[in-house]
Amino acid sequence: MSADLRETPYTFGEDCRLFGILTRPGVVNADRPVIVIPNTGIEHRVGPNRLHVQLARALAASGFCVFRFDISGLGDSDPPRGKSANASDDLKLALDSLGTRVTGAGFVLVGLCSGAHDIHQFGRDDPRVRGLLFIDGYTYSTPHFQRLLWTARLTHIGRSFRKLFAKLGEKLKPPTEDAPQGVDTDFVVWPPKAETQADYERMLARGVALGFVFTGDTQWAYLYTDQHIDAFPLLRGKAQVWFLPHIDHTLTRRKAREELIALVRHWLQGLSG
Amino acid sequence: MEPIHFGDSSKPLFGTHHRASGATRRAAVLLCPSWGMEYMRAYRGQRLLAMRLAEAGYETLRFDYSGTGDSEGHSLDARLDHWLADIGTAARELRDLSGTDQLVVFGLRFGCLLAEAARLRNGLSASLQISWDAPASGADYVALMQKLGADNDILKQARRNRDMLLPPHADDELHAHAWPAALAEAVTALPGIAGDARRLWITSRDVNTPAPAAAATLATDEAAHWHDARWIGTPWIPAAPVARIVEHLKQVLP
Repeated sequence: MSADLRETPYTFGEDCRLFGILTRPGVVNADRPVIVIPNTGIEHRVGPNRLHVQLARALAASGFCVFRFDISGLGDSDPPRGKSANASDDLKLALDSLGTRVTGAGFVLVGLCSGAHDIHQFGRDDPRVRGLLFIDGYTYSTPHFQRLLWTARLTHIGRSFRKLFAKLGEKLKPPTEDAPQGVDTDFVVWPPKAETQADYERMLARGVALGFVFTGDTQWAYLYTDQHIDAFPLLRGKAQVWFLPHIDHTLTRRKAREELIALVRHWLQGLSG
Repeated sequence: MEPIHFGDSSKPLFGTHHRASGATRRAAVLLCPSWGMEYMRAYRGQRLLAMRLAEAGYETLRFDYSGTGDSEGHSLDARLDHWLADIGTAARELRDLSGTDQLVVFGLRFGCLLAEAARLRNGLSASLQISWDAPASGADYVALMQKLGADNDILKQARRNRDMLLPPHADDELHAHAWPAALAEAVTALPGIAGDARRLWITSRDVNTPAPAAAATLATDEAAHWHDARWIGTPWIPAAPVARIVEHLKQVLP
């Protein structure tokens, strides 16, 4: 971490039950949005292979204030008392808490996997949100995707090779019958396409900047760069989409993390002018 | 729960202090976490352990080694010597926070090896060392991380199109985390735990690392699945073993 960055951990929300860490540059530029990063899956605010820490520090080094935090029941945050946990409620509380701590030009939310789902559901309606970057968020089929999928399935040269991998993979399949109770590993339910389309219409009408990143681990649901644009033509010319087949969903390679961080920083700098 | 930064202000460590509630006991507990995927998997479980210890009256501190978690530093700059020094820094911080000199150093997995090395090399003083699922040695731990990384890659590659296979890990990565050569060499050379310190040796049902001769032992009924790549994404939250361990400590450290 650069010497002029400052990290401030704090609790917030009712009973101070939620926890996050705010990373600030030495000089805060009030014209820049504040970046908010919720959890990915069940991992705490550090993110997969420390991605969120590296991302927050890299963005702060570029002049952004960044808040990464644990939603209810993850990391160091507790679930609410007497009601169900709701990531949208947590995101609202996070933005409320930041409103009194930092000055910025609205908020941009960055979410990976379940985080993408969470920022979609919250960012749809909150007027403070200026931008949303979804990493491995919702995917929808298109005719061209179907053609690519079936072509790959039918003409795959290395089919036997992949079968071998699949067999090994089957041997290593998660032992669900022995999995601990209460652990939900199925994080996201895709909304119907019409609902997502309506959400995008609302976001774009509010002037929310939209970015979509799809990694290679979505390849049986996402197979070419413009798939999301083809699925939602209203996004054409109004959203940026990246398809990165050479990186994986949990960014297990350092080069992948560095590439993603550079991409996010570049996109955010473009938004900030 | 009180999040804190401590140590050298130019490269602070991140920790979480759990204040003892009710009648404070004489001993304070320093939790030394594991590393990499195990650190991630065990995060919530270590938090639970810290909370239960604090509820039982033990001032407790958990923290991240430099270059890991929320602590300062780039992962590629991590060194074994730094981590051993971090344990000493955290021990001093906990003594200051708790006002007690009676320290329990409680390692989990790789953290057991680090705590033992801090004791032997840096003279870390503790009235009790607790080792939960300690690996047999540094080399044993590294070999396991290599195996799990390879198994995890098999799972990932099996789901990918053949022309989109992932590139291999870099030489200075281990199981998706930075693993610079100097760190790798030093960790691989770490011996197993054989010291004569006062020690409680805790094992999960599926861990069979032999206990040092003089250690008291506590075997839990739950499996931890540290050796199984299928469990990498499943949080380790051993509620029943934690309750049992805390009850045991209340007996031996009143």
